[in-house]
Amino acid sequence: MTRVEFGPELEAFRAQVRAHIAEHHPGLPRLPGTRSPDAEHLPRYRRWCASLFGAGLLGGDWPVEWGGDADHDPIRDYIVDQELADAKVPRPIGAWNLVCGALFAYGTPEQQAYYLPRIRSFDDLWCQLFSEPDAGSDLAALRTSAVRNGDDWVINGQKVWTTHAHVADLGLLLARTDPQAPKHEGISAFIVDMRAPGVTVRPLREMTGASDFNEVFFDDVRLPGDSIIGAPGDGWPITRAALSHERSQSLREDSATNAVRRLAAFAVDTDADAGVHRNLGRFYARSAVADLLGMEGVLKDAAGRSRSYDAPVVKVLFTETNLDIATYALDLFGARGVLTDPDPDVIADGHFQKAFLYARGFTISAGSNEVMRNLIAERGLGLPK
Amino acid sequence: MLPPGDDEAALRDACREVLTKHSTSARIRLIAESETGHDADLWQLAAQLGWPALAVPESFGGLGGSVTDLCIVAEELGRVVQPSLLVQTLAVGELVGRRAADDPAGAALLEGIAAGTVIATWAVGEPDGTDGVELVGGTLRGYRNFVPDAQCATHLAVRAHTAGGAVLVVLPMDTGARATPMRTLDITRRYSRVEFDDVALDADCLRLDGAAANLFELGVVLQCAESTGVAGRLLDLTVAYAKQRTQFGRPIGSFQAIKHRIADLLIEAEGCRVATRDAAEAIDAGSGVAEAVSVAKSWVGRAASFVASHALQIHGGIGFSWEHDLHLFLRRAKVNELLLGPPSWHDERLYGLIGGTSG
Repeated sequence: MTRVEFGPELEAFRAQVRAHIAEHHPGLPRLPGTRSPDAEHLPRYRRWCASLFGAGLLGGDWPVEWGGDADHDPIRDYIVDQELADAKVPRPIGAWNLVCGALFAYGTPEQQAYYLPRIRSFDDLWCQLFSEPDAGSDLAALRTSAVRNGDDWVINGQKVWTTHAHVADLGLLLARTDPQAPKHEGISAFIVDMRAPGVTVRPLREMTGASDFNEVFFDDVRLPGDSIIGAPGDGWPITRAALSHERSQSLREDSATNAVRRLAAFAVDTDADAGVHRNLGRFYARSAVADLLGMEGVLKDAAGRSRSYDAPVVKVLFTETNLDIATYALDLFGARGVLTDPDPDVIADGHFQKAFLYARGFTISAGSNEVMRNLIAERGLGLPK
Repeated sequence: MLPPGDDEAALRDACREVLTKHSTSARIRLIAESETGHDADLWQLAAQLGWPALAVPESFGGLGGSVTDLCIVAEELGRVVQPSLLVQTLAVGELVGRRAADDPAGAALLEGIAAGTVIATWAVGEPDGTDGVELVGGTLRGYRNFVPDAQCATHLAVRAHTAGGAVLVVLPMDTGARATPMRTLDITRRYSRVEFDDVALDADCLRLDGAAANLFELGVVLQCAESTGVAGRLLDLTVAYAKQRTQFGRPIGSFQAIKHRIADLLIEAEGCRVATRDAAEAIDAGSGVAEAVSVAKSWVGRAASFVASHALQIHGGIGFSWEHDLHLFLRRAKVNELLLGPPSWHDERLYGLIGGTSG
């Protein structure tokens, strides 16, 4: 990873990112994975995200009329992510990446003119309303309904695993508009005001004890006619485009090599045996290879040479390596490995015990790893359905 | 690190085209059972095409390729389980070109490699120290195990210990090195123990101080490139077979049990590709070499064997036959995995490099 050399222009850009972080430092923690900011931090959080767009550090890939750069270099996005991670400052949360993809391709001029600038100013924090209790990996089986009533749409149903719903202003909703049509063809995409009457957000308590996700209930929620994106029935192509964009973002994960270095320091302190040395060396190699594949994915994306299986390969490797390292860490700690924060004898502030629980979410979310393997085999290698 | 460019694709395509035609399964098996174990026709052709010259600087009639380029050739050779000493010759050319081009013996060697008249092999030795060669007063003494195809090499690069540290010595085979065949799992590549009974170095021999470690690192990277080729080819064969083989009225590739296994093979093979490339670039850049090389071997050594193992399982009974080539790949993958330091040795080295204390 040390051999990635960028030209002087990109290194100047990196310096600009660092200067921006120093000047606008939000003083907020970098939240792992799916965590949402505390409600009291939201105004500061919004200012920070808006500053990143305002300085041209985010959204460079957007069409020029909406604030993008004509000759945007995607490696800049990688540099921004890298610098935000190194400085331990948060990156913008929410579904804005999905939403802008949907709006560029399918939004009306009025929708684009209203919503896109509000993403850049972070006046709107978006959530994604896709999964349902009976539609997880089989997303197209979703049952939440949208029925015409005059000019309006009336929504009924339930969503689940909705990250950030409790703090979001708007949601990107998938609902069934034609129950008679084949399952992929009867779906439409909508913009929902999360504070509209009939929308109920109820926090889910996860196995970690935290509440990062929500259930969202729709009881006769009326949406104005102009809240549909595209035409009725366009929901599935919109979703596919949005999700593949989200997956390409997952090429940029935080490196697991630092966790392995921490474990190596522990092994030195506790005089661990050669078997432990080898296991840690092997985990380091796995983490480094995951980093290399993620990095190469970004570069290939930038060069327009990416293949359909690149992002799924990276997702599977990152999330499973992450889980295996956390699991191994606890084994390595032995009896003390059972202690969690805030026990005074906890190891490494309880980082690995938390990771041991949280890591399970990442192998499931954003397309379970089984679905990723299907994508690799079918779309990537052409194996028959 | 950059995505492969057009030049590299051209080199890869050229190698693949030639090897597909001239390094068929039947040919590999024929050569493996021949007296010399050496495909002289293929060597001739490779020399005409300038493959050995890739490792030689332009000022000596070579093409001045990078280690990344050499890895492309090694990977393509791996895709057809070619045992050719081209890999070892490229390594020697690279080290001599970088370190000893001003030496008359070095210049002669480079010109010979570029012209295709020098066929070199390496006596790297295992890092666990089970074998050893000493250079004392201009004389070599000791032995090295697992020297590839010494019986058909004209030159040998050997790691030797001196009072002042390890050095690399390149000498003509007929200077007095004695090769005894060793029997290994890999039936398409011969290995020898090479013994030096007080072999006196003469003016045709070349001594490179400080290059002994370079030979080890470069050897591991080229070995990884070869195994990357093995993994890539096995993946292709397995995908094709899963599409074509029908059982229960369906192609077996339509079963999720097979799909998921094959997806895992792709992940392993992709890791091989980027890890090897990163290690090659590290050598070209001269920084972070030990770490990148051991990351590569830790991953590739195991991954190629993993891919071979699962490729066999997915092929079912046909893969267990002598006539099918899968076992040739399985054998090559396993031997490559265990030589030049097994993955566990490289894991331990990595542990030391990331702040742990080894041993």
